[in-house]
Amino acid sequence: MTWVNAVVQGLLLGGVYALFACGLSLVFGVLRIVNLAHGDLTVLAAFLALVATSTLGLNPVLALVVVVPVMAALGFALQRLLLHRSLRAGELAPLLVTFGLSIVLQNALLQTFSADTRSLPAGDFGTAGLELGGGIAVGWLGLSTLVVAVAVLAGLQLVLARTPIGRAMRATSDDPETAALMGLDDRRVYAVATAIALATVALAGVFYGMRGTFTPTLGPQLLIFAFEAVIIGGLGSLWGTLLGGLVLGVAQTVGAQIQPTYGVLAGHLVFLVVLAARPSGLLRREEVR
Amino acid sequence: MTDTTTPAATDATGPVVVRTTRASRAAAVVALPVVALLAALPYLVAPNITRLLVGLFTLVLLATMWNLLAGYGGMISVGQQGFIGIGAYAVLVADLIGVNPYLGLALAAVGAAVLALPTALLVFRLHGGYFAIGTWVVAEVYRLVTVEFRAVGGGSGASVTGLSVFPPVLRGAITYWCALGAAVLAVGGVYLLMRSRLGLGLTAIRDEPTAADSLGVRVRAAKRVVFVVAAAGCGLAGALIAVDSLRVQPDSIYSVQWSAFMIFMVVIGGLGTIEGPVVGAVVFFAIQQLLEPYGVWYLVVLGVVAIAAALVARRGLWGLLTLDRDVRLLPTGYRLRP
Amino acid sequence: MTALLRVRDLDAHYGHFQALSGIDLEVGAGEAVAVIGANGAGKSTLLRAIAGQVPQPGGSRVEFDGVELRGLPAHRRARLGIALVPEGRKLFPSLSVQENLLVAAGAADRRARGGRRWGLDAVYELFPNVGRLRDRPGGALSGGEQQAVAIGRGLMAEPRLLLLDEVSLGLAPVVVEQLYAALGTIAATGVAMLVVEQDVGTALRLAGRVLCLRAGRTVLTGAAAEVTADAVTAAYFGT
Repeated sequence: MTWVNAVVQGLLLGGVYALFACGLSLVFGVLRIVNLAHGDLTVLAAFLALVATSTLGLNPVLALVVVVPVMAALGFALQRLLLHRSLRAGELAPLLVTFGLSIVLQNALLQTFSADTRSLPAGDFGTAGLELGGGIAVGWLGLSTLVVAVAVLAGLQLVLARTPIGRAMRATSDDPETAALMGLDDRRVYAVATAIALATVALAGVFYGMRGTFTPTLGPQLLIFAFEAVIIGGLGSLWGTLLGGLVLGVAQTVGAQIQPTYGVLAGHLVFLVVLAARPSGLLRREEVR
Repeated sequence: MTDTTTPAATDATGPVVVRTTRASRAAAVVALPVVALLAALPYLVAPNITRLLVGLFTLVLLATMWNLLAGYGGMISVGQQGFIGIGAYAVLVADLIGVNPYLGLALAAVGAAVLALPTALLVFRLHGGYFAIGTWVVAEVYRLVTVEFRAVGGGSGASVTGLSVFPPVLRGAITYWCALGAAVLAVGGVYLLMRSRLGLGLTAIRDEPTAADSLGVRVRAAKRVVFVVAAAGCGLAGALIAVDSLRVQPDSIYSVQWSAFMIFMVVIGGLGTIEGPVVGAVVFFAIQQLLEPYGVWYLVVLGVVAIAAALVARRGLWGLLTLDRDVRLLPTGYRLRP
Repeated sequence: MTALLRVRDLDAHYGHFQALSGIDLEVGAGEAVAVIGANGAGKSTLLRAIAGQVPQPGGSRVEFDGVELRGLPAHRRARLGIALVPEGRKLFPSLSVQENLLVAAGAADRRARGGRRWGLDAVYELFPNVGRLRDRPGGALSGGEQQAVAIGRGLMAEPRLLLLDEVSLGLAPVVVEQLYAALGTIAATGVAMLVVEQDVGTALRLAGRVLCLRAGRTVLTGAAAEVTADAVTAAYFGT
């Protein structure tokens, strides 16, 4: 029964990873930039929520009302001020710039909040759960994280497939120069995409902060998990990202069940196996070109 | 008998292909005495100064290797700490089995290069930013596997004990010479590599990406060579760090911080030049020494400077110093002299 | 007649290469002008400069409906009513045919309050086979179908000036025939056109006036009816 429990807990953990990954996936899909500061931005969101809960006395879930718009605005500004310039400064520039940003964020957070381990106070919501019998319990928090992840991914899918802005994002991603001929302002399209991505980052940061603990230097680890979810699932497929997150979560909890120190390693190994055996990911995006 | 010499060769006033510049000939004249002086330094100055320079030479080695990857190979890696760690642990293993840790330096370079081959097979399936994170994952795997071995101290690391047979002053001097040798070897080796056919091919592809498709297979092979050489260099750097500090701690030797340092040095010094990473290493070293007492703010400042350099000064300090006049102390290309 | 488009002394550079020098051109509202010339004469560059894809030097003037366009990026020019149907069609491969059309509709949002002339239905009526292919991905069409979608996409932006770059390139004569019949219908609705063609005869059937470029300079202008075949040949080859 412990193994079944490990899988169940892994699926719940995978929800968080899918939530981490969809912002990374969106920014890459639209801007063709791999944002190496993605993890640090997630940690930043968690710290913003921490400040909101401690100063305004808000519940972390209510803090989302503040954190999500702030992060979205930050994303808009980030694109306008940094990323857009980097797109025009050569192939390597976006990576160098986002990596520089990662180091800046990480160390600024470290200096401001110290290296102490923090968590967001989720109260009963964080500890209570559903007893399924046989020693398997599903926490409300974990379950709602998974539900939120599925909802966010479905919402993103819907926005991309059905709305004018989603269409504009796909067109600009295909060919920004021709998109401009159709009256689309690539700066605005990119900025909106980055804003949406950072809104999902805010959700991911807050839910992660309620589930467990975080420190200013956690960002790189989160980036790696998000990245693994994206690659395991398949580049360019949002449902693949969900699947990738779930696979990664299960790999980690099952690995940790074998021996506690094997958890993260097992996730990495599953990623490497997928990379070796099926480099385009488990769910390949249907070829249209 | 007909004259078979080509017109260009017979025409003495025509352009001549040269591989040196006036600056490079001057540099060659200056470089030898400078290296000789540096080699004599343990006889001339206090050990604490040579000890500092070991750190600087290690940074020069690292920056040169990262520049080889990114500036010439077009590969941004944030996982070179994996090879640094492997190199450091190679020294520990040499120490454990009773081999002189200085011989462990060679073992480190070879070990890292051997491990780089299967690593390349995996990470070369990824491109651009995903390649970068892929190398990082591999480095994490190295770390997580390393800490499972009790013999090398598990998660807390171990000390290099075999060097205690040397008197401290001699040990310091040998370590210094190894570090100096490694830095000179790296800069000189990358210079020669980039002057070779392989290097010129890489430069051509970097400058003209559309040509890359038709040369696909050879590009891949050249990139693999670059990846393996850079791994060997980083392994050597890790080994130097181990013999210098006499202690290996997995979380710090496998830290992504090393990649951050390498990127800062190369981007600030000048990406895609031989001289830039050396300049960047010196500047970074100076900033680190001056600002380290003020905590991690120096990393924030360096991050901002690196972002600015990546956006506006793509040839870094070296480009600014030479005002982009293409001054090359170590020219890798061919040029026409009219 | 006041000109809809007025180009004065237009230069364009790609690095050190001067692609256009001192081009003067006027296109009246509802007028069709053909731009002809050999490969590399600067025809496409002229269209790209008007659409905002090539930087406009300080001394050059491009006025559209009395507004100087210098400094306006391509997307702003599209919103003013300049639509370029680019060489090579450039459909968005990950969008369906219908989405390719819809993506351009936003360019007309501000100008089309009084009602649109060109919606999906109008485009499908003009190009019936585009309507049948509406759910196909943009990348999975024949050359002629792609060109029809590209023209339709330009129309969705409700242009007052349609810039057409090498519509006939690589297409069978019968397909070119159909496309130019459609262009005739569009011209009849009062949309001005600047038509770049290598195929002089095709272009002159649509256009009332002609501009011939060679090596980035204007070498011949005149009413289509008055330009003789010999004059065109001479202008083309510089004899």
